[in-house]
Amino acid sequence: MMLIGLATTALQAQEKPTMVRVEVDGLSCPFCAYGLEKHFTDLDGVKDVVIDIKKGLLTFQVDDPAKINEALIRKTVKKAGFTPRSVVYEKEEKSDKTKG
Amino acid sequence: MKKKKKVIKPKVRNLAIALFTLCVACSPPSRWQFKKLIRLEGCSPVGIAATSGGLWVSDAASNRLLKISYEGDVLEELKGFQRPMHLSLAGEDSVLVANYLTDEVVLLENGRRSAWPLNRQVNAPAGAAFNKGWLAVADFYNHRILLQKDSMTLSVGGQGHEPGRLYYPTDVDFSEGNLLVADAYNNRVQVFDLSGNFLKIIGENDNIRTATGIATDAKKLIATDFEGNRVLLYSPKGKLLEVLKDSLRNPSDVVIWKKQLFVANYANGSIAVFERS
Repeated sequence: MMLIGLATTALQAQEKPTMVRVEVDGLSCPFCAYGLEKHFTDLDGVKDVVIDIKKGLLTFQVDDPAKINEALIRKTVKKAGFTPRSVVYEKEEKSDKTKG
Repeated sequence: MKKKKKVIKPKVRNLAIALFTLCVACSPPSRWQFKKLIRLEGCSPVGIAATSGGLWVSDAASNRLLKISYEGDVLEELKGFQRPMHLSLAGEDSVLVANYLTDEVVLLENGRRSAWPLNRQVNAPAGAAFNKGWLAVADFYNHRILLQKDSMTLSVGGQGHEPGRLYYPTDVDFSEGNLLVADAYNNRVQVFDLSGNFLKIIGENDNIRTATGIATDAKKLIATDFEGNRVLLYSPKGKLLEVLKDSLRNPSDVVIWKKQLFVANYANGSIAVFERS
């Protein structure tokens, strides 16, 4: 039982984080754009926050999509002064190093 | 041979004085004219401050400050800031940096950086100004100005659209013993006294789309209209004197140094330089 538990933990540790892409309108002003970045940087469980001002796109990584769920993301975007458009979770495929 | 001294007849002299006075009265007032663009490769300037040694420019996108000469040469690059926004002088060669992500106002003095002690927590400081012991901080997400002197602390504004209320303030300055605020998303400039009392609104009828930056000198108040691609110059009483448009692309901040006016063009990575005609 203990071995199964350890194996599960090890597998979880190997899990790649989920990339989240959020489309937001009105990111032209630096105070707004970096304010949005600030709100997500301050969220526990969010990392690698990147703002693409020209594309109006916010991307970041989450380890636990259930914790950083869509409702929380939309609420945080609104708190930063924006209206979110799409919120997309992009789970990266695990690479199989034994192949090839 | 002794030269004979020329004597101007009083009538002629009076006529000359009258003509000169007439010419001065009839000539158009001097205007600011676009002189040149200083291009800053890979830079998105937000804040600008002028010293005798050159211009300090904040590059929020790259988390750095640049010091450039008045001719446009990069003299110094300081990295390690966290989305630095507006800049202002706290003394000769002492620059206040609004470090947006860390909720700090950083004093840059003789190459050393130190966090200016704030009496209250702020959320995303967008600009700061210091004058005669008073520190003002544009507290962007709290929609207020933190105004402090020693242990005395005032919260000026608060979220709203009515006179005296603020909506995402981005810059502050002091003038004639008053506090000026770039009330960015209320599209206006507001004036308060140092007790935090609302005094007046400037620019509310001038179709400002986003008032992000302000600067003052003895004779005028200057505001940048970020979305409107304009810089507006007002008299101290708030009368619109002049509007600058040439070569402005999302102007975020402005400063006057001697006989030149410098505008930080956020969108195209440049500083627009204007001179009196």
